[in-house]
Amino acid sequence: MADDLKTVLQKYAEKSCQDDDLDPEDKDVFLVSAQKCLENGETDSETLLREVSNTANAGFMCEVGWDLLPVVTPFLTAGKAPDTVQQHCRGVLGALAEVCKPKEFVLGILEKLEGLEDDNVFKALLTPLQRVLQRLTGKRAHCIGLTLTTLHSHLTEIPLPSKNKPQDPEDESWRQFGVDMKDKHVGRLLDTTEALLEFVQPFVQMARKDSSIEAAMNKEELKDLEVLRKELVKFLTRLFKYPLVYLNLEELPVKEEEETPGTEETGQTQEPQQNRCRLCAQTNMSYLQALDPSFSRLLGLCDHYCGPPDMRAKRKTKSADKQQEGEEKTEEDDGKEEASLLGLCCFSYLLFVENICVEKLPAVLSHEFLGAIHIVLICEVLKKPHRPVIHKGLELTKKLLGNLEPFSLSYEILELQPFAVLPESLIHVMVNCPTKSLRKLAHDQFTAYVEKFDWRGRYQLLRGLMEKTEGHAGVMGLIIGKVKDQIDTCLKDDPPSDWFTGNKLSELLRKILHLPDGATTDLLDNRDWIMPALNLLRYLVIRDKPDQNQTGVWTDWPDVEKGFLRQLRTGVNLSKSHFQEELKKTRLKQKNTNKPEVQASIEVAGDKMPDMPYEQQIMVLESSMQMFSVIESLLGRITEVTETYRTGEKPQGKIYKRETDWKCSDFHAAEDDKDAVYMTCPCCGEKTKMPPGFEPPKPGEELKQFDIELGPPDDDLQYL
Amino acid sequence: MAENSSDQAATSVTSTGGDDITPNKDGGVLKKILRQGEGEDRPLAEDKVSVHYVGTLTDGTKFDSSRDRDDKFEFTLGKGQVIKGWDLGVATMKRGELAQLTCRPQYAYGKRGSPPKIPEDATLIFEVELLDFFGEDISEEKEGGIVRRVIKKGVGYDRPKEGAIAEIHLLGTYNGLVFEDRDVQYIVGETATDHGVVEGVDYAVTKMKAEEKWRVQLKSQFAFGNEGKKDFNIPARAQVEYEVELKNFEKVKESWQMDTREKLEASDKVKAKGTTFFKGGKYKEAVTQYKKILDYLEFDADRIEDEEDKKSAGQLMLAAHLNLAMCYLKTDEPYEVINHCSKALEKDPNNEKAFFRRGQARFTIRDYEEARSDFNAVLKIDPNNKAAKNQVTTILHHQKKEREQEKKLYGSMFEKMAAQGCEVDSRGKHGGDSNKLEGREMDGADKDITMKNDKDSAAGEP
Repeated sequence: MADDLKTVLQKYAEKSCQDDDLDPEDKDVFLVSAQKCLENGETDSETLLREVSNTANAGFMCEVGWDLLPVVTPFLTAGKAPDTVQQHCRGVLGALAEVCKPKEFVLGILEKLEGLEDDNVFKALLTPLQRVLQRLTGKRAHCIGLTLTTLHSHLTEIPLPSKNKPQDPEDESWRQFGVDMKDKHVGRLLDTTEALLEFVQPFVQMARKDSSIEAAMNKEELKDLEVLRKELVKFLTRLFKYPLVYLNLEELPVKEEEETPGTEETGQTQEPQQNRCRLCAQTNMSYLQALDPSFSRLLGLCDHYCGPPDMRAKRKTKSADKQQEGEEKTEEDDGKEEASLLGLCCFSYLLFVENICVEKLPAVLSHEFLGAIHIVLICEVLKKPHRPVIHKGLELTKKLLGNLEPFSLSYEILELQPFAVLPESLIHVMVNCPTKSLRKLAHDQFTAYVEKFDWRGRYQLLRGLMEKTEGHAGVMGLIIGKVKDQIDTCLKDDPPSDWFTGNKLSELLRKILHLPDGATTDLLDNRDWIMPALNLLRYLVIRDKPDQNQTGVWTDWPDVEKGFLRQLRTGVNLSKSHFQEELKKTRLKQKNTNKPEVQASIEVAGDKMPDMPYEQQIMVLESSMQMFSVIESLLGRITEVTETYRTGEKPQGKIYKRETDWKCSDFHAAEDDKDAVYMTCPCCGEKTKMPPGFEPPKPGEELKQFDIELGPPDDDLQYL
Repeated sequence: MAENSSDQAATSVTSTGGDDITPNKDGGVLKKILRQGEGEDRPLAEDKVSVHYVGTLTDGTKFDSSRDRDDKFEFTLGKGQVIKGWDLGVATMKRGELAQLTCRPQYAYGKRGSPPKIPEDATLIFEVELLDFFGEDISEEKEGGIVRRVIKKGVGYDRPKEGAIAEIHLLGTYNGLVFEDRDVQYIVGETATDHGVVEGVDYAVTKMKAEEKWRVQLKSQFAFGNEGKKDFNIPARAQVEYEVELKNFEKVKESWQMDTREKLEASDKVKAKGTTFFKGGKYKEAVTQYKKILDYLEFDADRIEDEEDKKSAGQLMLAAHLNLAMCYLKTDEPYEVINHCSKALEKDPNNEKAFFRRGQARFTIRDYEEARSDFNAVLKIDPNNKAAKNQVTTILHHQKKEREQEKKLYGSMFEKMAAQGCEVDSRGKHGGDSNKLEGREMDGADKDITMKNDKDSAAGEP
């Protein structure tokens, strides 16, 4: 076979002096024999390599390279040929890259790369591709851009690290994304990303900002350089967008892991903890910095998003004739920009949170500006379902908010829609994200965000949120809690702000002290709303005396009494008697039957759920009864306080006795009972023994109706 | 550390010195010119500015330098993109000027500083060279089609959206000669051409804030195009310049986003809008506008403390109810009319129009007794109200007729009972006829009334 090869080459060498054209027949013979050489194994493949690299054959190779490419590449597939042959194949490609017509060869390689699944081939093609691109002269930006797009699309074919574990709120394993080398995809992702970063390095070098080089360039060259920079920045942000934003880019804590015998085999734990993802990110950032020394281009892109979005989308300054063509183009552009939101977010995360390259950021930009230009990004990012992405978004929010002083944002900025949307996005995380730590982080950022505004801004934010999340009891409860905080802070000012007292407050209270379906409202469903609402009311009546009426709550008291408290009392009584009845029935049934009897069957996705045992049913009913009692006691407390104001003296006995036969004192612990559960009573703050059958909370578990939303009983002390 | 740096700041401020350029003269930003610039021009707010700078702390530590990066720094002036000291300082510089700006913490990064580079409570010293500045091209193509300079900064953050009414002042110049100087009110993005507002200005308005004043240079494709404009002596393909001031525009806000004053203002505007719709015969649209007034003020009206505001709120509410009643008369929704009139009467128990309109509505639902008492009430207030007098007569007439009809009906019923189901057909015919007759008369009466009331409401309620 090798002989055939030599014959053809010999023939060509003689001919080439007179004739440039290559005989198609000779070409075919060459290609067939090259194929056979590779199939035959290392000696023949070595001959091929030698012939291809032979400078005497350069002319021939230049002609035939485009066709030789598809012959060689299949041999690079993992396991297809012996290592040495593959080595020779790579050599052949490298040699071809030196002699072939650059543009043609680039296209040839790109064609091969498209739809390629094998990483081995992919990586083998990178080096010749890099070389041949470097050989390009004149306008190369476009060609490089095209290449980078193709290369990145190969990367996006590799799936993200998988996650098998069910969604446990305490599960923090997502933090291991990209660090956990046991995951089969991580290795591929990182290998490829690293290879690409290496690939792009000479081009970054070529395009790095250097005024002395630029000075020597002509206009055309400068323009090409500018385009090249743009392409490179685009590619680098794409690497952020996929896969880096999905991986853990934090510095790994320095710790000795002893419980990981599995990783020892891969040799990971022998070195000091190195986060390869982070290294990639660092390299990427340093490239970006070389291209765009003060990050003005990237920050400008962020800024671009912050303009009022409706305006950007609709209005175009296009004269009529250009209109159609232009519109298509911008639409396409918009699509691309949209896609790189994640990339920009990752960039900002690295810059501000991980402080990578932050020293290059101009130290004159204002904190307000930096916050503002990220707001749209953050809103978008928080909507994503990936925890590492949400985590980055939240951390970025934390960092940017942390730089602002309280009261530093004016309500007027809420006229820009994204500023009003950010808290919605945070709430979205709080409600929907399965991971507890992220929900908590989102909650903290929500609180922090509200506090950056002036009073009017705070009012508008909270009121706007009520408008938007109306009906979701939990969210209402959260907002009500914040309203209470605001009132409390506001009353410490002299004079207190108009926005959390008087008319404005009573507008809020009308929204808060409201039962969606009057007395027949499902109290169980709405408890997360009703409890904080009652708690707020209790706070108000205790904090603000009728003769002062600082908050204006007393102005509307008749409405509150009629429209809310009275209905709630009826509601509680209705629910209590209903549940009492239910409880009696169930207890009776439990007594009479040993086996659980089927009352109703519940089906979830076609599967029948097991019936609830009677003990559990009783427990559920009892805890509901508990909840009603707490509502009652809060109601009682409020009535007691208002009654005192009205009559001028503290009423004798507990006033809520009138409403119900339940007394909190019934549960107060006389002495410690080892088996009983004790909790703080919401109405008097005393230690209270829980009824038998009450399941004690697990350590760390929050019991909403008792601990969380009700606030400290200290409020009462001011009154008593 | 904080103490340390502020101590040093105190000492070095004297050594660095310069003029205090803060508006309230608190010594927060001091400027010393190190090298004079050229010309007289200074950058305006929102101009694109490019500078080179070196920043040092008071102890001499260099924390940042655009020269070291070999990358000039560009930003938009006066938009809060940079620390306050810069927005103030750079605005005072001329092209080519080199100056030293000493910024106290409250004009720099404040108490918190900006980790890791700027410590807490730090005074910053910048050596700034203003390289260049230029108005921003706000067109999409960035080919210099619409270049603006901000002459006066606006308030707030909101900008007119498409479809919002904007009041602007235009001063158009071509070759230094004024060709247009007028106030225009138009709907952004919709009625620009009808009002002779060129495309470039219409576009610019969407980017302006309230009370903002711009100078915009327009290339011909954004102004008078290839034709030019003969009336203004503007030739083809001419570049023109406008001074545009956005005096006011309609903001779309929810009721709860406004304070009382804003609500009153908004109500006034909405009322005017409603009246326009009403005049154009668009009653449904008018209703939505008037209803907004109720939405804005219903809750606040009685609680406003300022007497004057309270009064105007009351009047607006009254007008809203009356106008709504009028609209509903037009759209044949008598129960709504009655409802709104009654509400109007709660506010003003002697309102003539409210009685009159309620009377009309009650008349249409043949509530004659009630209608008559309404019209009588009108006559009590204004004994000379002819329309009301006519109405009363018509009602009496109708009542009489109705009684006759009833008589006939019952009469025929008895006949029918007597005849035991005969002549069913003829009875039916008879009834139909009488209805038709009545209907015609009602129409006539209606027309009469509405004509009078059109006059009333076209002027809007006081």
